[in-house]
Amino acid sequence: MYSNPQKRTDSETAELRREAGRWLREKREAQGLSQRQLADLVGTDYYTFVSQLETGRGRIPPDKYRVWAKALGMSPRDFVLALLPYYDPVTYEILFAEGSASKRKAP
Amino acid sequence: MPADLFHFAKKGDQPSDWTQQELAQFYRVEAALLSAGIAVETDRGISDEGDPWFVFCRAGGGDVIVHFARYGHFYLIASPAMEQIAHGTNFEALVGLLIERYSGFVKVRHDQKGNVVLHPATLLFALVMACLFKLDEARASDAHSGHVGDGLLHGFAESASIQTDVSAAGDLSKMAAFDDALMTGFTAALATSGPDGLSSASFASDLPAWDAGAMTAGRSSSPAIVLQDTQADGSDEGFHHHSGLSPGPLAVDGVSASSLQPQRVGGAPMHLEEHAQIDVSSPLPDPTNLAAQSVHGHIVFGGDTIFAAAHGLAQAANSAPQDGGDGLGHILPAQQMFGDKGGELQQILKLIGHAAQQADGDHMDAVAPESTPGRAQPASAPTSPPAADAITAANHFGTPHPAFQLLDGHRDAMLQESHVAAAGVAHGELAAHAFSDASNVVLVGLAPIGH
Repeated sequence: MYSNPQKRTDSETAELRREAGRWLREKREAQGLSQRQLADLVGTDYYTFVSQLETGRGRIPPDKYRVWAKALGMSPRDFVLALLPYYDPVTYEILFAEGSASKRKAP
Repeated sequence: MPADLFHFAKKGDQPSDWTQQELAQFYRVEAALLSAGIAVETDRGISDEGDPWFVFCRAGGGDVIVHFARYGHFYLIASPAMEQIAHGTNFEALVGLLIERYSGFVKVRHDQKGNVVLHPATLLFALVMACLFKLDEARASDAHSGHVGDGLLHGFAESASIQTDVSAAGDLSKMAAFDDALMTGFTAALATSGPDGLSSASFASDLPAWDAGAMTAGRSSSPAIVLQDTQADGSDEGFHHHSGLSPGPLAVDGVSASSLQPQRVGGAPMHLEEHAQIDVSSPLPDPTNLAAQSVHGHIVFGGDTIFAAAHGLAQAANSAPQDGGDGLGHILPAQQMFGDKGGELQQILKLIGHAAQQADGDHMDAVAPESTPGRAQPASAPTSPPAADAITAANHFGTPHPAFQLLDGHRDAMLQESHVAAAGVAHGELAAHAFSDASNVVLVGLAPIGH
C-alpha cells in the first residue's frame, strides 16, 4: 500500500511546504505577476489556490510543472530542481546530496 | 482563462475576511472531525486582492481536502475529490448540492421552498467527509488494493462494530465505517453547536434571490450545477432554518464506556417552538427499489409506537451498475433500525429484498444503547434482533444523519437530519450516547399529546 514516502515528521513536512510557498511567492513577484495573473497563466480555476500554495498548503500537481515553469520564466528542469527539495526531499538527497557533487540549490 | 470567471465578483459591503460566524462554523466542523478521529488540519489566508480562503487538509502538512473561498459575494468550493469547482451566493445550498453530487449516497433534505434544511456545521462536515471518502477511494484505487487502505477512514474500517456475513460484507463494512464516522461527527457537531444549536444559520448572502444560483467553472463552459432560488417567493429575506423542536445545549460529560454499555454523554430537554411544521411534500422513497442509489430511512410514528430505521448501504459485489449509474454497482437498501422492545433499545440491520432473503438471519452485532432516564436499562446486549412488527411502545428515535428521512406514515412527525419537526407532541428529550468504538447515537424521545 502506498504511503507517504518522505517519512518526515509532520512539522518538517509543513515547514518544507511553507518554504516552497515562500519561494513561489518570490518568483511570482519577481515576474511582476499578481496571484490572479499567475492563476490565469497556469490555468488554475480559482486564483486563491495560488495564495494557498504560497502559504504552504498543498502542492503544484506534477502535470502542471511545465506550465508553472513557463509562467515563472524558468526552464522546466530548473523549476523542478528548485521544488524537489521541498516536495520530495528524499529523492532530491539521493540524486544530488549522497556522494554527488552536483547538489543543486534553488535557482 | 478560468480565473477570469470570477472577475465579475463584486466587492461591496461584504467583509474582506471571513466573518466570525463563518470562521466559527469552519472551526466547529474541524472540532467535529477531530472528535470523530479524523486527523485534519485547517488553514486560512487572504489573497493579494483581499479575498479570504479556508482549507481543510490532511494532518501533518498533508494534501488539501477542500478549499473554500469567497470572492466578493460569491462563495467558491473546490476539492481534488470533485471534478469541477462550484460557486454561488448561497453557501448552504451550494454545500448541500455538492454533498449530494459527490457523496453518492447522501440525500440533503430541502423544504418546500427548496431551502436546505440542515445545520451549516452538519452540511460542512458532510462535505468534508464526502471529499475525504472520495480521496481515499482514489488513493486505494491508485494502489490497486481495492480497499480504503491507509486513508483517514482506515481506522473506521478496522474498528467498525457493524459486521455482517453477507457477500458484500467488505463493502458494507466500509460503508458502515463511513456511516459511523458521519454519525460520530454529526453528534460532535451537535454537541459543540452551543445554545443556539440547530436553529442558527450563517453564510447568508445579501444578494437578491435572482442571483443566488451557482454554476461550475473549469473544463465545461456551460453551467452543470444550477441551484434553486433560495426564496421562491422572491422575497429578500435571508436564508433561515425551520426550527421545529430544537434542543438546548448539550453538556458533554466525557466518554468512557464500553462498546455495549454506552455512557450517556449529554442530554437536553426539548421544547416545542411555534414554527414547528409538517412537511409532507417530498415524495417517499420506495424502500424496495433495488435500483435506488440513494439511501433513505424511515421514521414510523403511529400511536404509541415509534421506531426509527436508518438505511445503510449494502453494495452487492460483482453486480452490474444500475441504469448506467455512477459505477457504485448494485446498491441494495439496508435498514439499520433502533427499536424499543420491553424497555430495551435494540439495533438491527436488515437488508431489503433479494439480499434480505439471502441474509435472513444475518444481523449486526446488536448494540443496546442506554435508554433515556426512567426506562429500564439492558443488562447486556440482546443477541438477536426483534422483528420490525414486534417493536412496540418505542418512544425513541432519531439520529442526526444525512441518510435519514421520515416516512410520513401518519404525517404527524418527521425527522429532518439534524433537527426534528413534529406535531401532536407534548414534549421531547434529546440524549446523546457514545460508545468506546467512537460511534455515537443521538436519541430523541417524543411524548404525544395526551400521554
